[in-house]
Amino acid sequence: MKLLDIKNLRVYFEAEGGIVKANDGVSLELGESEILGLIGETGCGKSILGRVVMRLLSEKARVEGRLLYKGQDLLTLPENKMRLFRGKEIGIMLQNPAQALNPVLTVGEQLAEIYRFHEGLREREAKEKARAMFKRVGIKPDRLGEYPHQFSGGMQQRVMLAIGLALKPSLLIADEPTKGLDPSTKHQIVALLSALVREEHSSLLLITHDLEVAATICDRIAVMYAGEILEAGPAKKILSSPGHPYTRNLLHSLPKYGLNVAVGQSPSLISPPLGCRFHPRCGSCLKKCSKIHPDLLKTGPRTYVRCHVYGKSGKADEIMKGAPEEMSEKTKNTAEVGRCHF
Amino acid sequence: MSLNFFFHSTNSIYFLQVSLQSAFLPADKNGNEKMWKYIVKRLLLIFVVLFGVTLVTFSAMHFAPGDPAELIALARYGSDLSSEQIEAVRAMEKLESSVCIQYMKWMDQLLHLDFGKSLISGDDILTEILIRLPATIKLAFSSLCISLLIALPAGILGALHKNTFLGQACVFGSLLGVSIPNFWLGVLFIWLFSLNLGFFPSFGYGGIEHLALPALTLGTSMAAVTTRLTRASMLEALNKEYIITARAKGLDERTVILKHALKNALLPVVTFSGMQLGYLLGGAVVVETVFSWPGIGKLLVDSIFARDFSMVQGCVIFIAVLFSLSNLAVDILYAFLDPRIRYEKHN
Repeated sequence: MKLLDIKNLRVYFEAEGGIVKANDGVSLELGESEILGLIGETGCGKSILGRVVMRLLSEKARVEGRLLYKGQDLLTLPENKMRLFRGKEIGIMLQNPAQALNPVLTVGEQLAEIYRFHEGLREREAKEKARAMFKRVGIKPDRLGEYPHQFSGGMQQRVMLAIGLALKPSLLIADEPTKGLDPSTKHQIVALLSALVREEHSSLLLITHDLEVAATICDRIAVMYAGEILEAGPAKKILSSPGHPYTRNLLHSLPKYGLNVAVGQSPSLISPPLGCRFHPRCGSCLKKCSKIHPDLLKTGPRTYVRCHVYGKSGKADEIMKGAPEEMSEKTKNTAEVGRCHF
Repeated sequence: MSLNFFFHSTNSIYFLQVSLQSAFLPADKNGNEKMWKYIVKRLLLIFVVLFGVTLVTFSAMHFAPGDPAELIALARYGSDLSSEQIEAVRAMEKLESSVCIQYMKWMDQLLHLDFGKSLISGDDILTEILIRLPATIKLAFSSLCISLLIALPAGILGALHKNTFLGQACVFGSLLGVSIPNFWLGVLFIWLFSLNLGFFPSFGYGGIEHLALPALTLGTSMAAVTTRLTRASMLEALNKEYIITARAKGLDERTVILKHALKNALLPVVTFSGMQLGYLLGGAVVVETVFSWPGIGKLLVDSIFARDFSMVQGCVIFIAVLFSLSNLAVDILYAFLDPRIRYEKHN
């Protein structure tokens, strides 16, 4: 059963240089009690995708496509109905909790107001529930009266988690929950996040650029690049035998594989490259890659790849042989060194 | 003398601290202790500021061109002066001693809360100021209330509907208000409400009908600036990430705007209004003059025209005290509103 089914979603913004195509035909599905990792570089549109699911974008954003949640299209829902979905059906943890928490309200109030508003609870009952929620995310309940700036980054992230899960939503969207945390705090947060989500039988859309985090807890992984999905499938399959050169690149850029980073910058979302959006940085680019935009191909059960090279002349693995080494040579020689995102 | 001054101030502040502390039993020991230290530090700083103010006013008065004794005699006895009269004044006001000695004597008086006597009428200056104080306080608070009653809704509406006619009207109105000078607006109100419509008296002091026009004049012109500030800080707050968090919780727009955005947006508005209040408590010179409102501002202007040096000095010192105290009050209020400052400022 699909909990969330995104079909051909487009999110465009008017900007000075033209139209920013933050999401350009994204199709993605998320099953019930499933953890889906959405992976991509900074600026590929993954945070926008997280926000558009809750319709939290500014009015300037042009949104097209279908956004089916439990069979209901959220994009056609009137605002007052949509409001009831927020928090109760879908919760979100925004990135940078230091900015996502209100600096002049106590953390307890920021949590308790959810219970008062949605469940009509009184001050004391709401506080009691907030206390219990704080315990669950591992914050001492006597810190309810403190303000966000008195918390460390990891603790602020726990507050965000408490807010996101306050009403036991069926879907939690976590936007870069491990950003800026030290390794041990990062692991604590990830463990807590997956434990609580599993406990509630909720689904989780984990937006991250951290492959290791995604590998630890995700059932499925989707790779996003320049506003579109390049590959999606079961986490194990994606991590062991990636179908797309970009995914392979991401894997090779992990420290344990020798930090081989893709050459070049991620493309502009205003005028993305013709043909395959990854072709200027791709090590196994064919002629038609620069001309024809590849479609998302179904290559197995709930598995998709957007690549001309995939399946041609047998295994993609063979074509890609040696590519990372070649690329690391390029990295040394060119002045423009690719950014490392991990 | 200066040692004496120091002793006086530190001692009284210590007692003030102890008595205030016992009055409000602190709940949060650590934060409150820091807060008190901060307040005491600021009170000490006020004395430094006031010392500077006395120096400046005293020198301005005494180094102004002309013989002070002659000027005083001129004010007292009219233009037909004999040299005996001038010398008599010099002896009576102890103007023959050196400027330094005069200043020391004056400071000694001030530290004993003796502002001296008016050179013209001979009345006690502090009494005279305190008689005028209620009028000034009434005008200050009522015009501040009017200004906030206009500025807060207008600023919020201007921010929420920034691209519509309503929002633009708020911006235009406040621009108009900033550009219109007080004295002209006052006269306009007198012409409209008093002469043509006959709603309120055009001048004088007494009931609420006398207060209406001066308070309205001051209130609307202050509201203009506050509206712009409220609108700008509201727009800034509405763009913050925590607003998206608030919406993501499923709260209604009312709560999002009036609770999450406004509480942040009000911080600069509080500071600004507090400073305006301090300024008003020092007497709104122009408006008090236009409406013959018997406040401190009017007293100051009148004594300048009457060349009543000692009264001018007294007024300036008093205004400086009120201004410094209200600024301190704003800072304390700010610390209570903004939790980030409460804990960091005094480290």
